[in-house]
Amino acid sequence: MTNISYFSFKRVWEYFPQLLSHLPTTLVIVFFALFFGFLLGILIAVVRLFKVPVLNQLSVVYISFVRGVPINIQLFIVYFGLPLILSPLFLPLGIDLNRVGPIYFVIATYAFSTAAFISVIISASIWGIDKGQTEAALSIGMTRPQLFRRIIAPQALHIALPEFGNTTVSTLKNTSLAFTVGVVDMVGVISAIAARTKHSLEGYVGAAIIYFVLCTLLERGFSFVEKKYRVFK
Amino acid sequence: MKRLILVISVIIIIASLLAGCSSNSNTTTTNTTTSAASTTQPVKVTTVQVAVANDFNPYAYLDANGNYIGYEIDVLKDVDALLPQYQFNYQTESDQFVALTSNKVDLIAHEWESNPERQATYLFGNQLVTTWAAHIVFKDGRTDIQTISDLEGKNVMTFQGSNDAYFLETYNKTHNNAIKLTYVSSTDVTVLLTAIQTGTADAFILPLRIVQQLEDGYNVKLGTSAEPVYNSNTYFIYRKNDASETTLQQAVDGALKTLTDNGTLKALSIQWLGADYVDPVAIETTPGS
Repeated sequence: MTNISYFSFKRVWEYFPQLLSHLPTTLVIVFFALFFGFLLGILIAVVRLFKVPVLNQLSVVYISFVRGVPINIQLFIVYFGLPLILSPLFLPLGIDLNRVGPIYFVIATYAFSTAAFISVIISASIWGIDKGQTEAALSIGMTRPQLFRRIIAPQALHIALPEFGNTTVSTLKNTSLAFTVGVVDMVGVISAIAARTKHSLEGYVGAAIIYFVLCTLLERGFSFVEKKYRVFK
Repeated sequence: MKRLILVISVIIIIASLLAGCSSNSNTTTTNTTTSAASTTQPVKVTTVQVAVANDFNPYAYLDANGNYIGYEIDVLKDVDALLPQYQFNYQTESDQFVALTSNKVDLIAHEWESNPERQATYLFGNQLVTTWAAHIVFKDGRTDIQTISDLEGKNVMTFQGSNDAYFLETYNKTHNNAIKLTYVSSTDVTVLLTAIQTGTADAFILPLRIVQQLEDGYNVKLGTSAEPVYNSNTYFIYRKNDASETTLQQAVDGALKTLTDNGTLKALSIQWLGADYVDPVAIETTPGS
């Protein structure tokens, strides 16, 4: 075991194209998870902001569930559990949920998880704005929509942007667990490469480089947008 | 900075387009198969979801282009070719047994050995896929381990939920837990090898062909018992108490019998596994030396 060559940069370079060819899978998961997560997150935030009875209590349970359960366990629950609950609804439509590809469940899981974080970010950043501003705006005769558009939204956006950035980056990194339900993404392909060539470390190093570059790009992008929409000088 | 955002958004757009293309092509292929089936063939083609590994060289793994290859894959493809009423689709599941019971797949293949505990829960094929003569494996040069009783008082590593774990546990039940068991996940072969090399563990149980593969792959030398501690066979597994599954099992068994009789299975075994591992051996289910 001593003279086995565990690592070579040549192999990192060799496996890189194979990893990159699975990058679209990762990006598709991130994109759709964020898209649906945003939609659902806004809905939950509205429920929380207007304190809609029943739904508000449900959203509290939902958010603490997502925060308190590791994402890989959420993945398994959605992948194996969701079809059990929802099959009766989908079967009349001719869709057998058990035969739907794992990637859809992965996107659903990350969307559910992102939605919880997004809703917290949105409601917290709106609550974070001084109440006096609302009162002042209403006292000079602004309508509620005007108040939201001119006073609250710009400031809330500024508070929320860095957090949206964090959520995006952590969603991107969380997708590295998608392989656990059988999606061959960038991480999933590493074990396939390892099975073929007996070398896995090079694959992980390659994936680390790709994730690092992507996350850095995202962070840079978000800090640029933050500067652009800065409201407090 | 603007360029950065542009690049990222372009990547995302391309990626989503690619995803759109791939899912479209999937649907079109399924459409064509079903329409072809309805127009040209009187038999209704049933799609069978088959769970196979993608990291289990040489049984089922992926080539550089992402296609499934390996011994089990070739056997399944030959079986599929003999059964016009079925169309096999392959997918990878992290937990094949859960996927099988929750209807995600109809047939699972991962060199599954048969034992009474598994037979109580799942439907096994009757035709073997490979034989499985399990030997005791230890550090090269040791002479104190040859039979199962030699393992008493020793530290033995075993794969969680595997048949060798079942075998050792069954032995322990009647022998006062004499063998000290440590469980590892089946993906951590390096953990196993390191433990043997450092002396943390004394032995584990595997067939010689896999030992050979470990020796070649990790450049180690291992000692093995002269005789197998147990002989078993591996089978494809189906859902129990499900009429369509029983029909599938009988059809696959019929095809496997044809492939065994005409020598295809043997040829595939020699091609992928290096020797004939399809010659049935007597199954010894009661553990003991």
